Amino acid sequence: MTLAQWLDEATSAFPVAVQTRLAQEYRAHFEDHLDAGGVNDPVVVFGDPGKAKRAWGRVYLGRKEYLVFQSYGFPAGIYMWMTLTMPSRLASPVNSVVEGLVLMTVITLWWLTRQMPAVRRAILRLAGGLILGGLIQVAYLFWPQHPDAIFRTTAGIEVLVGLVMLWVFPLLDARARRTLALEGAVAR
Amino acid sequence: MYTLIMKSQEQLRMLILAVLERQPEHGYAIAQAIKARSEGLLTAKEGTLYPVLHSLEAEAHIQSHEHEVGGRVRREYRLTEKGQKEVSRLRGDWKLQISAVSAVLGGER
Repeated sequence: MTLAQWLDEATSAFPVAVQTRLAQEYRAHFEDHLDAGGVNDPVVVFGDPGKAKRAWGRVYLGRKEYLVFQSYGFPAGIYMWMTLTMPSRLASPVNSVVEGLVLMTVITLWWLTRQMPAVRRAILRLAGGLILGGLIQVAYLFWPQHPDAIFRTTAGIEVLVGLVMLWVFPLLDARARRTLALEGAVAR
Repeated sequence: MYTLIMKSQEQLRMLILAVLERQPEHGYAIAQAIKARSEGLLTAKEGTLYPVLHSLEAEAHIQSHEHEVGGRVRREYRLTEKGQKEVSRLRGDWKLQISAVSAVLGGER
């Protein structure tokens, strides 16, 4: 395997700015290795490219993920669905209080994230919507007067999704920040 | 020769920070320093060394800048003040672990 093939396998799944930085460092490393009389095989030096790719996937957003968040449509769609449909499903005596709190949180989140880069804005709004939805459903899941079994099932799913997002969000946001830092470095 | 492949990211982080504690280095030199200081016993597959370096940089434990060496561009990593504290913390934790495991294993009589 040549260095170009190794790099392609390990880094091609990432945005161009990330690929550029990684290729630069791996090439420099490989040159030093060859200068020191090392064997001309990147697998011997760097190991399995698939393993390196997985390791980079924990550090940076993949190219596809980046594009999805950048295009904004998908996460914003989910977010809007969550916030717009929630009040109609919350037919309870405390409905107006919950509606007010949801609306306030949504507006605050929207305001705080409005000037962020599109990728982080999408992640924060998506995560905020899903976590908020999950939190609200926790209360309604255990509301004894609610007879609707379908409601309980969907509420359960939303709680689960909210919990998953609570765990995934900090990791996702950290990867987005690192990726954006490299994108910014290239743009300057 | 018997070598131990670094499997734990936490251990690799600690070793990278310890190497950079002495002086700023670029990636290849860090990998060589780990091998040399452990007399060839410890080795990190160098493909996974860089993801750890980038994570440390994102956490502001190290910082990097490009410079030219012999007509080639190299990225040099340098420990920050935060990184200095982190390496002290990790070193302390590691000594505690070693001491605890040694106490359980017991020594030769």
